[in-house]
Amino acid sequence: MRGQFLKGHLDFLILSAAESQQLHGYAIIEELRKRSGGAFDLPEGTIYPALHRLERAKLLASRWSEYAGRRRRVYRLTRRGHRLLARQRNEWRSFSTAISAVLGTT
Amino acid sequence: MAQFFDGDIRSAGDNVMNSLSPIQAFLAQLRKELRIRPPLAERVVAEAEDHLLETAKELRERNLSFEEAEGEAVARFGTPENIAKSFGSAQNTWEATMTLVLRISVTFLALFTSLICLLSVAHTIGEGEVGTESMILRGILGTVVIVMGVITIQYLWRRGSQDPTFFRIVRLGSVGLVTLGLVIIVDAVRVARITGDWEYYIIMMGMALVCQGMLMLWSPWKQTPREA
Repeated sequence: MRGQFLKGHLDFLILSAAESQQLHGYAIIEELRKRSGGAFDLPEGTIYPALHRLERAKLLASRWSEYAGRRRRVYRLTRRGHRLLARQRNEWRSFSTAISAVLGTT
Repeated sequence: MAQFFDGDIRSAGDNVMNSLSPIQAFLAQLRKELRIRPPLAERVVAEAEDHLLETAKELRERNLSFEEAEGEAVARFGTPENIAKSFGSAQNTWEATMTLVLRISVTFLALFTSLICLLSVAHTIGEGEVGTESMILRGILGTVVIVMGVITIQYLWRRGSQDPTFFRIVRLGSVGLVTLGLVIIVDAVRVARITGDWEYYIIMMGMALVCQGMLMLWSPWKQTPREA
């Protein structure tokens, strides 16, 4: 899938991937790939600026953990992140329903 | 001779880069490209390293050689330039807001202190109750503050003020403003203790000078251009 399509939705997708468990960057990319059936195949490094941006916005929180002798940064959704995700999910449902109706794909 | 040494150092640097594994070379390049605070840059590099090692490990499990796995992991990650650029723009949003707040605060303080100084000088001349020396002193003080105010506004609002000498002057001026502000406050308090007449506007002016100087000191630190 083209990067431009994803770019505007990346934050939302990241929040969704990290919703139910603490994940590190690599695992978030894997989760996105798995959930999209391989359609979301971004340059993997692009996720980190987004993660840092979301953390600054207090939608994600992070901490170092230890894995196989090396440090790993894991991210989890904050309460504010959960609230925003729920709101965006509702908005997306209305939006996609409307788009589908216009395009005649429903 | 220096050129020969430079060339040797450069080729030695290239050799070091060539001897690094693809992941190590990528991380070295990323570290070089990142234009963010050093602690944050270290964190980004550590996260990238963990990610690349994890990808390479997974690729080796699919029977790729060590070199191939690392090369593929790096290719999937994107270029260090693009990643560094994304971090730069993410940082800049915050810095742009802070700079705007700073600009408005310092401009306000510069205008405030300059106005108070002007009024103080006009008041002194109007009443004529103080000696010539004191009038000259107040005149100089007022001029200095007004000039610093003009420099502040010019520095803060002029786009592309990238001259390091200009920044040094501003920094020196900032230290001067803080010192001047402190002296004014201390002197006003000292006089008030003797006479019992608290001139709050002078104390406020001193405090405004200290704030203006401190904000200016902090602001160039955030924006000092790289010297060639």
